[in-house]
Amino acid sequence: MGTLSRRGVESKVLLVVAIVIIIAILGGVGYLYVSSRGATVTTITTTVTSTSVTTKTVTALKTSVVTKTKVLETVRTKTVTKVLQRPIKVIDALGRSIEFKNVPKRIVCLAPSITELIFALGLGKYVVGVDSFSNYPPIVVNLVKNGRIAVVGSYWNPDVEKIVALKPDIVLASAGVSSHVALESKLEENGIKVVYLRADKARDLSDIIADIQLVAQIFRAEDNATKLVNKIVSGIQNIDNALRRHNATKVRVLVLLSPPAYGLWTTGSGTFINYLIAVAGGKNVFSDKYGWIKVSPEDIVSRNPQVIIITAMGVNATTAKQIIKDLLKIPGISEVEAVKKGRIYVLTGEADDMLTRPGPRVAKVALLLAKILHPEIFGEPHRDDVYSAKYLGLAVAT
Amino acid sequence: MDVRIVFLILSISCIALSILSLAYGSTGLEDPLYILSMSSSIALLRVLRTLTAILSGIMLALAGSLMQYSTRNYLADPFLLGLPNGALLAILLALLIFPYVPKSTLIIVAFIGASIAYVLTSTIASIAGMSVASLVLAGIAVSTFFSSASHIVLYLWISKKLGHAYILLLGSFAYTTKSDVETIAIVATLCVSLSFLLWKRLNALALGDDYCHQLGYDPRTTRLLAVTFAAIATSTVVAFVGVVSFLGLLAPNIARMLVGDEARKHLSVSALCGIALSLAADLFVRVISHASTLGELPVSIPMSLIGAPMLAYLVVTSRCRT
Repeated sequence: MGTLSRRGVESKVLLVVAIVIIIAILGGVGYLYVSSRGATVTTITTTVTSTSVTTKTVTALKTSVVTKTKVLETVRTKTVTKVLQRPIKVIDALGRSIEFKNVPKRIVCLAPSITELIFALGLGKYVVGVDSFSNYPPIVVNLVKNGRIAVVGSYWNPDVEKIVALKPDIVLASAGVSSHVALESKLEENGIKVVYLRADKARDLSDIIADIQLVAQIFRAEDNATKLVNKIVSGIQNIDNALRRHNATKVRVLVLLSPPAYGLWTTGSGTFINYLIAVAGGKNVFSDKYGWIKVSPEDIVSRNPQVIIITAMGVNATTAKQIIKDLLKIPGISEVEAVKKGRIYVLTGEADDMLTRPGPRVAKVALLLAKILHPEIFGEPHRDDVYSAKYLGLAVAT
Repeated sequence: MDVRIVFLILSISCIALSILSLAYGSTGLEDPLYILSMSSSIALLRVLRTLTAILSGIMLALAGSLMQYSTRNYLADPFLLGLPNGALLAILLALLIFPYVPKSTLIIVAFIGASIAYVLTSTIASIAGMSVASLVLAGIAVSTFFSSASHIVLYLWISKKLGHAYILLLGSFAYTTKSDVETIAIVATLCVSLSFLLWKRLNALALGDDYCHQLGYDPRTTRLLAVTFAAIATSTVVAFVGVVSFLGLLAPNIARMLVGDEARKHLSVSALCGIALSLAADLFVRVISHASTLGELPVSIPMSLIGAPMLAYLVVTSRCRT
């Protein structure tokens, strides 16, 4: 600490610097205020389209012969039909009310399940931006590679500037992701409408259908939506019918959401996977718990699952073997029925994506699960992204 | 080093960084004058972001300086003493009860939280003898407690609409709106001017409580004022930007190395350092987002990358000194 004499007797220059800083701040904010008031900021304005069609119907020459005299009666009808596209008002998954005067033409999707939904409804040509996880339908990957669709950051961290630079009419975000919810005020400030879908928060078929209908309403794609919903519902009904026909008993299932080496994460009730297990004729062994949970080896052994499904990203035959070997290292696991019978499956690639992303492929993944749980009814799942302990030739604990 | 040279270098680097901050973003390079003409849709984003970074930089740096004067401790950073985490927990609880509370009201809530955290930290530290290390250790205890409580709240009520709170937990300059920046600017102007008015008192306080009395200032009032301004500045940043780590430690210590701790010199250099550091950290985040598909990272990541080694250095040098 300096000496007393030096303190307080320095030149006045430093005080001036302090004042300059303050003035700079005020100047900056003042500039912002003045310049944005000049309305030079590009805001996206929507105009009401009103086309007026004038139909002139001339009903001419109504002849009536009363006497020998010919009476010419002319009736002129004028019909004015005014076609006014009514603005569409929707309520999104967060309970916000959003009005669309026009059908949005530039879409940014912030979650893979949303991208999938938009393409399934035939709206893919309007997509200008997606998150980096979006990889389905496969054409998305090509469009991103060609630069036709931009990537606006990852699913967890979307980048505001990248979104705004695309000048979208609508941003479709997931209500279940906090960073998406946080974008709301920032995007609205730039005149961009955000609609939150249930997306990854969807827990069952009704949530997925609600999403489909919400999107269909905004884009006036009700016909495609009806077709899509019918296809999904009939797919799920077929599984249900087959299970009933064969009087199938419910299979106890454990789904591990990551390789066992990363911790035993699984799902309780109230999730999409829990719903899928029920549809495919199984019973989640942790359905008495709620949401995404971490469990102990003891929990697993005591609940004795008949089938164990492990989801993992980017797995090949070698790593799948390793994952199953890691699972078999868990103390007491050899007592579990799934291990005794060798009914352990590792799902990766598309199978993994479908299971973890509630979307239009719900019937397809339900059938895949049904094949895993009830091969006697639906046949074994022969896919190169599903590895089974049996086919990997692993010696299961005896 | 000559004060004038320090000012010159710092001012030039602040201006250069501001220009770069306007010109460069995750969508690539633009002419800064074109951005300032406000004719593109990303102009507003860049200008708001730059202003937010500058204002938060100033406020956090000054908060750090004021805390260090009032505790006479080089390690007294609001972040290390648990103020932002206290503020964050208060904001989270307020948002849970009143989900649509305006952000300007959150400043008051955050201030209450920050004050509670500071009172806890200083009480624990004074019981432990108020040494350099005890203050920081007490701060870590309080800070960890509040931050884990915040995590519990976020975890339990993840289904609620806590998007804003989530951003605050990580800290980012990208999400402030125009009205937010206006509010931050008002608070920042008040904080800066009022803390500069304290310079005589701060100088007296730096010499010790006895000298402070002799010079005619009550050390307790001075301390209370300094801590209050620091808490207001910190809670404003937390309410709008979120928890930004270590800036309040870095800026004042760099300032001390450059110009010593005469209050007027120190405060202005500290504020300039704060601006430069927060702009640089924000630019780092944008480079990452531009070069990869990772998207926005929290600004605390680059800040901690520089801040943590600085803390280690300060701990080592303070041990050598005693």
